Amino acid sequence: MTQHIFTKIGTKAIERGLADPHLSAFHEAVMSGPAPIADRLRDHLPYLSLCSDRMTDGAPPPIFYVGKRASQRTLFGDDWADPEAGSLRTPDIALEEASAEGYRVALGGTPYYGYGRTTMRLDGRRVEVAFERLIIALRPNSLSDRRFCAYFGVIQHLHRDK
Amino acid sequence: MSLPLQYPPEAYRHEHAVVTPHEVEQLLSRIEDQGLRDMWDMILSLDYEVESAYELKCEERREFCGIISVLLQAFA
Repeated sequence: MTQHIFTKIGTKAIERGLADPHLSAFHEAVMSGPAPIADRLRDHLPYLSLCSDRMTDGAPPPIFYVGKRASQRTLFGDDWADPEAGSLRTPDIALEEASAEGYRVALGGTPYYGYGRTTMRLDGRRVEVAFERLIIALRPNSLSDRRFCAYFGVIQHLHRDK
Repeated sequence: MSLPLQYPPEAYRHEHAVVTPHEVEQLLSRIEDQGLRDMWDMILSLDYEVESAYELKCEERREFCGIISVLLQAFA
């Protein structure tokens, strides 16, 4: 049975030191100082997925970049993350819909930090995964009228049936 | 026939695997038409630490153009 549970925790938990240290470092880098966004993101880019600000039909925004060590790459694989494969959506539609609220909150202007736990089928195998995720809407530079979402996920538990 | 010494074998790639400067120009034109130049510049700076796509090596340019193609769809 496929099920998806998402719980909003809020970024105060990060400030209290309750989140994953790498995720916390990303949050601190993004929220601090006037440095250009590229400088603030650079160290964390391998762990990030980036997506647009376009939410349609209740789905999260399409993904256009998946970092080399991003949690979504760990979960869905290198082939899925290859830009030449056009990896705009995660492979599970129900998971997409269930996860959309976090992006909606982030695009509303409030960084979203929460916990997710799901079971789904990938390539015919049952997969259980639990993760933290931080989603922040950003601009490519301070003068830009464009926005995108940066997703930092940390997998806490992953089990694939054989 | 052996290759001239100044061209290592790995420098030779199938023509379809190489992104030409003209293709980069076309992509940039589409990016500018959609008002996404800021995103183009940010990815170049963030991921490749260069200012121009023409500074990228062959493989990097191919990868970058792949990302940009997906970016265009993501913001369509």
